[in-house]
Amino acid sequence: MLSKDNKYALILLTPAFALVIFLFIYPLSHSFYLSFFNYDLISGEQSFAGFKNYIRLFGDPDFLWSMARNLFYTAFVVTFNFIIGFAFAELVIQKFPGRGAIQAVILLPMLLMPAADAITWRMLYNTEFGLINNFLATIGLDRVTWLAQSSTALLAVMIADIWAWTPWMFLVLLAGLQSLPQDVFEAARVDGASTFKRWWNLTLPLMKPVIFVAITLKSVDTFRTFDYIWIMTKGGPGGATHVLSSFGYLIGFSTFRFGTAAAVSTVAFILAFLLALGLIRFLMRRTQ
Amino acid sequence: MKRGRGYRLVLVAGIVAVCLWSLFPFYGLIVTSISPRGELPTALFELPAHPTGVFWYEVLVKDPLWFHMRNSVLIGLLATSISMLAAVPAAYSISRFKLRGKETIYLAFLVFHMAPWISLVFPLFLLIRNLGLLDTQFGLAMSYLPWNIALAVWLMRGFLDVIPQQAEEAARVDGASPIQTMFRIVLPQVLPGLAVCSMFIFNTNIIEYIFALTLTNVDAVTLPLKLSGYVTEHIVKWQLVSAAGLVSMIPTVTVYLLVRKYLVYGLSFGMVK
Repeated sequence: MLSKDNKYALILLTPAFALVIFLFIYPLSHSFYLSFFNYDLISGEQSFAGFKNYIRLFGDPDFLWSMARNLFYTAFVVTFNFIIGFAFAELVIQKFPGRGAIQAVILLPMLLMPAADAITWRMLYNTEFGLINNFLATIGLDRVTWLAQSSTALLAVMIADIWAWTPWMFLVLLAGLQSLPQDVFEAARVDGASTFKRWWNLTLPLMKPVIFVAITLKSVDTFRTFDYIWIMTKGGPGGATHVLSSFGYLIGFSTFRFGTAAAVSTVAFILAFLLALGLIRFLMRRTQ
Repeated sequence: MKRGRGYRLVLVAGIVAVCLWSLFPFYGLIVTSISPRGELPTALFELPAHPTGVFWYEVLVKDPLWFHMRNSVLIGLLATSISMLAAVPAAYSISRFKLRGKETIYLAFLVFHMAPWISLVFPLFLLIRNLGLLDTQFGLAMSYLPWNIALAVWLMRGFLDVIPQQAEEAARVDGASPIQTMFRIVLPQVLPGLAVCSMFIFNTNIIEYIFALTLTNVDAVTLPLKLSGYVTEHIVKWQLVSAAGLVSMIPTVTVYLLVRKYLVYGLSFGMVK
């Protein structure tokens, strides 16, 4: 027997539930189901394949590399987002005239759409007229074909991603810094603790929950990266910049083997889930 | 508090570094957008010898982006309003009622929010194709709903949890139903939260790429997809795409200006708290 309150609670949850079941749970299950079939999008033919899609994928070095690269990409981009974002936040928290304007300047990259970010950086890397190569030429170095050689392409894409999303990290960390209790810092200052000591012994420990949430959220978000890679390199040259989404997308929409593509997306979902587990466990502990 | 010369030096160096880092790609965009065909500057501080406005004219007047901007805004609004209507009552329910398993429900929404797009691209493509909604604004908006709802439930719960509950209890004692209480007493107290949350969601929708790429073709093409359309395998219209990239900042900058005052509030209560 439901109490009256429980009845209301469920009524309020129903619209969100219905939509999420229809547009998330059902498609996700469908994708999982398809990953055990050979399904050709064009002909519509479907035949049971058992674990063949998964076996084929895990025997394919290109897939394994995409997976490893995806994790490396995430770790690299988030690390630099964090370092640069924290430095920017510490700068803006200082009191100086014009800090509002500086904050706006820091946020600008985030206001350019990701698709535009990717195109802009493709232009900056251009061999003939890109600003980065113009700079190299000015200081007497050779121009580099950043996106066309496998040794630099991934780094080039990661830099674009770092540039575009550091403002987000900056904002979250700034919000954290602004909510720190000032009296503790005042006391430490009176006791004669140096700037670095105050930062290391007070700022960092007090910021720990904020840092944790920011890094986990950014990791999950960076893990699903697609736009930058798709627009800047399409996974090339020679597959050197493929991550799970670009690799899966290519299988799905250029070979139309939806079964295999569904297997890639299942793997991507499981990996993202494991990444998110850290955050979820943290939040659980807090809400209990 | 006295600050030394070293402090001021570091501060100025920091400001200069920030400006260089954030602004140099915009400098590239602006210079390119006014350079004539075949005359792109190849030296660092070279400016175009014969600056031209033809590319701006093309992007703003001749082959305007407005159609795609309208698509982006309409799709963004549609998905945002549906998801807020569904998510706010859900967040209220999770925040206020003693429902068994509600924390599990809440965490499930978090998991949905973190799902990689690729995990739904293929099945949602099939679903929306079978519904006959490919290349429609509604079809694309549908694909945004799962992420939107999850984000909204999560943020709104954060906002709702921190507002005091006495007024609600009083209303309940006076015999108001929970739904009346929600609309009359609770929601007016979280107006900034509602605004911030809608704006965040709207912004994620107008910059979205992978579903626009998959589900639209001509009629429902959004701004990001139009931008990447200037870039083909062999020819890139650099001047056009630079001008278009700058024009495409109109909706995102508008959102930023609207939400600016509440940004830090939104981030610290909705996300981090």
